[in-house]
Amino acid sequence: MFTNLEIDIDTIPKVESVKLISISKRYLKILFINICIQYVILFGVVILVKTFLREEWVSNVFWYVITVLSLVFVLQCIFSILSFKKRGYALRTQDIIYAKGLLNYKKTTVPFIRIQHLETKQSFIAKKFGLASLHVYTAGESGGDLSISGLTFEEATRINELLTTKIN
Amino acid sequence: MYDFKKPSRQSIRGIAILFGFNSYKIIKSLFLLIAGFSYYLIKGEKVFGLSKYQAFSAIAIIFLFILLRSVLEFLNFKFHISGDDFKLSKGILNKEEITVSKSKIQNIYIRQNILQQIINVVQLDIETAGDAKAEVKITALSRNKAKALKDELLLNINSISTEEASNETEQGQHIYYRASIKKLLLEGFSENHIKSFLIIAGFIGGLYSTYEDFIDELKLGDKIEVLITQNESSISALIFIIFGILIVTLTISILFSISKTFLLNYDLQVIEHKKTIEIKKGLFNKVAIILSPSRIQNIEIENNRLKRFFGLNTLRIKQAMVDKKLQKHFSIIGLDQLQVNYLVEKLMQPFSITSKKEKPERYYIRILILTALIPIALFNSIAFFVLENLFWIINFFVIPLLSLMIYWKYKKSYYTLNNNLLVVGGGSISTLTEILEIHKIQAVATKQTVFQKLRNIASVEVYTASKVTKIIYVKESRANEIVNFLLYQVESQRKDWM
Repeated sequence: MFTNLEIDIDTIPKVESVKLISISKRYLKILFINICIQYVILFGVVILVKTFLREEWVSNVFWYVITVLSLVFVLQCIFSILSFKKRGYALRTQDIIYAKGLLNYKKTTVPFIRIQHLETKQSFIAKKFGLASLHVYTAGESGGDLSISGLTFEEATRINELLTTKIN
Repeated sequence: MYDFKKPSRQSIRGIAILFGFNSYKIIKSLFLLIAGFSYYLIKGEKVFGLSKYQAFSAIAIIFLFILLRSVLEFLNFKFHISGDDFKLSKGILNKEEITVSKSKIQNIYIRQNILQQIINVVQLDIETAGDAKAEVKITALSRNKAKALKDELLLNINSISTEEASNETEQGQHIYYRASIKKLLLEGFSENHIKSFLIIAGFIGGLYSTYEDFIDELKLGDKIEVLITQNESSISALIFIIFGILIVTLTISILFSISKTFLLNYDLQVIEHKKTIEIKKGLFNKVAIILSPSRIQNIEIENNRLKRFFGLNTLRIKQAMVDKKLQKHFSIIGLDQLQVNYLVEKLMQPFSITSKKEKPERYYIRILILTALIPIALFNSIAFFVLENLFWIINFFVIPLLSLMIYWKYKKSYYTLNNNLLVVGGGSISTLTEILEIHKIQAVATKQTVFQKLRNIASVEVYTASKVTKIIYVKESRANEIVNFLLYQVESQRKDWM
């Protein structure tokens, strides 16, 4: 028989009370390596400019640039440590939740029945640390896709398999 | 009538279409060369060191080459249906074989641009799932053959498309709405002319940068300078000139808006089938689009004060998996309120805002005021260069204007939620209403900046396959409530989104 009872908002499962699982600590190392690579290139360019452009204004400005860059570098490191703590995911029986962002916190939930396909990716560095990222794609181009990075490879494959069975 | 089992070519008239397309391509890429060419020609000098006779024979050879290419292209373009697959082979030197399985076909469009109208052939686009752009384009078919091919392709395939195909039959269809010339004129007149002005300004700017040297040679700048210096003595003349320029730009913008509306929407018809709705429109570029309720993701209704007065609403329909180029045609203009309600009901479900309209928190006003500081600073600095010490005068115009915009923005923004629909209102000069069916939601997110965290405010983003709808700046607890409710509805109903 068809029923259409009123829904009691208080009895609906709550997204906000779900405890998020934090991602692997090893991912922090990857973040650091990525930042270091960026800054090695930046510092390298600045030093190259100084050695090859032997003009007065270059040497005047050189130490200012180095100081600013170092400051930004330290700030970005602190930032990524703090924002690392905000990253987390959770699985419920009907959907998957992923949250991230320090200044701009965003928590996305994708119901399993809306998942189009899944992908597990491993970058060169992530492979060395035994980590992987899981991409969850929904239909359309409006966004709403998830990409959870910093999962251990076993975790990623396990979730991937679990979701695959849920979709079908 | 037509046997699609055997490979067949396009209509023989297709050579003319291909010739037109190819010539257009070449002319477009050689635009600068041609401009220079005609410049020399008018001046009567030798053209790139060639005599006129030689130059014309060069052009003739180029066109002969294009013609040859078009004929070869025509001869090498063959298509047929074998079993459940549509097969197409094309290419003169680089051969290409395209196979599209019937079940993968999402939509078939028949359309006509101006050249195709003159030659009396139609273009058939076949769109498949998973790709944003139409994959197969047959540029020249006779109308009957195109219809037969469309029916053949839509035969015995997935339910949605057969539904569309059977609706195509003549019975049970009638024209629900047809936009009159008067409506089109009013629509064009009540457009947002600032937008038209920006388009024109961009176009002129683009033209100027392309032909900078050419224009410099005409010594236009000198003439204007002379004109200004002559009138410099009297300020009233200057004001008169500025006023004149304003009137002229406004007139041009209005004319531009009207002609744009005319070109895109000429002879706009909304044809009602049993389950679907068909839109036909266009002056030079005629399009026919079929809207089926199952594929519609979002609906937008737009009007402004002037348009409401004339009873003109624009209905924009966002359908999943549609060619980006075609997406802009998915709109119906000049509808009155009753027609809007009828169409929304037909395409989605009964729509009326019965539940209470809920407003964003006052925090939104604060954000609007903060963002308004950017244009204020901008206008002041521009004014500083022009008016120097009297620059603050500009604030007498800018601040009231921006305050009015902020007031409108806050006033017009609301959301309402019931068991089936989410309606979000917004806009500043124009009024925008976004509607979506809850069971078509793909994902939901809450967003919160650190500043909002301190005030317990958050925003909700609702994703469908076509676009994202935002419920901005509500209480954090309310945001969570909305998310939980939407997820509950999607997950418990388990309805298909397409």
